[in-house]
Amino acid sequence: MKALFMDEYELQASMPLRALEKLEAEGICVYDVEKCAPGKLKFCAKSKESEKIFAILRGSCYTVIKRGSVGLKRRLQRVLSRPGAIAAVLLFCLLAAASNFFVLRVEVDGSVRYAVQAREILREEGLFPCSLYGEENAERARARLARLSGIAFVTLEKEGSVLRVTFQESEEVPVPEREKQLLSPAEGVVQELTVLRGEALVQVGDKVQAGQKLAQAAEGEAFAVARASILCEGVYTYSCTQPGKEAKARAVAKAVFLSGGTPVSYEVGFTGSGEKFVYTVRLQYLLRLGVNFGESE
Amino acid sequence: MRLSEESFAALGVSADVVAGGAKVVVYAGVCACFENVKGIVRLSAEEVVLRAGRGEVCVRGKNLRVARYGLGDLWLSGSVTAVEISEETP
Repeated sequence: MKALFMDEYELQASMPLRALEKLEAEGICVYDVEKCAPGKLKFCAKSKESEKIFAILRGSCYTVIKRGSVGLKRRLQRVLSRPGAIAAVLLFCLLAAASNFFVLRVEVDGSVRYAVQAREILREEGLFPCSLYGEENAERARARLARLSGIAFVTLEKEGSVLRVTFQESEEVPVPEREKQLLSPAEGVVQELTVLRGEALVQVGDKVQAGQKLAQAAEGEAFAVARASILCEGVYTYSCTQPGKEAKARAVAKAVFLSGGTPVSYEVGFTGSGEKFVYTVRLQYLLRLGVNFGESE
Repeated sequence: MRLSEESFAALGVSADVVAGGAKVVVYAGVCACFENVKGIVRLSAEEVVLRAGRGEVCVRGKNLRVARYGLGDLWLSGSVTAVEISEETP
């Protein structure tokens, strides 16, 4: 194996190979021996043995010239002879090291639909491109990001000058909030009430007001399961310019549509003269209600 | 011969060292290694003559070059085509 720091020598003598024997006898290894001309040799030896080589060959009929360095030493000398290049390399290293203190880019992985929110949160915590990176800011941002709904966990890592946010979404779909009570949307009389879970607050035949509770979840229960039918009555008007059978039918249809229930019976009144006529429909209809029943209307 | 080799092995020394002869290992087309080299007699790109042990080793080939020489070992780089060993007559 060659040494890293070596010098190249030129040896001139009538019998140059004898000089190599002398060096070998003194324990000096020579490398890359090459005969370049009659009576002339080129060889390399370790830099630290330079003085020894000259001492061995001094006073004899050998002419030894040190031609320069080879290997790593030569490269090192070349580099050292260019202070500008060294300064540039040092400056580059310094800039590279300094850039690690900054955030130059923010990347969001895992789930791109959180990217906008994530960037907004990071910006609010002072972590945006060309900002100074702070571990405390990052920790606060990480905590806020982890609180986003549907996120199982989030990692916030700084890789060089890139701030990388990786989201892992929760596989569980959040359970929707279930209703705890059954309310009457209109005034009427209870025709039917079925409570599978929870407690009934009215009975069949009771008159109830709009917004009144018909059933509710029992204490300690998360939701109620109930169904009810209420017979309601409403008065609806329909204006037209041409009275007739068709206009009457339209008046009834409008009343049924607005009631939102199943019509049971109706009475139609008619007033008006000239160009404006008004039909008044008194409609009895059945409202079917339900909470968590699976077929609520 | 086998008895002597076994005896040398038992003593922990190799036969070539005890015998003082040349040891040659050739890696075809790449290099050749020599032990017990006492000196270089001739050196050129086609032929290198070494003084080894009690005789000479003549190496022929192409682009021959002494890659390393020291402590009795010599590494010759290049394509070695022939090695001729001549014993010194007493």
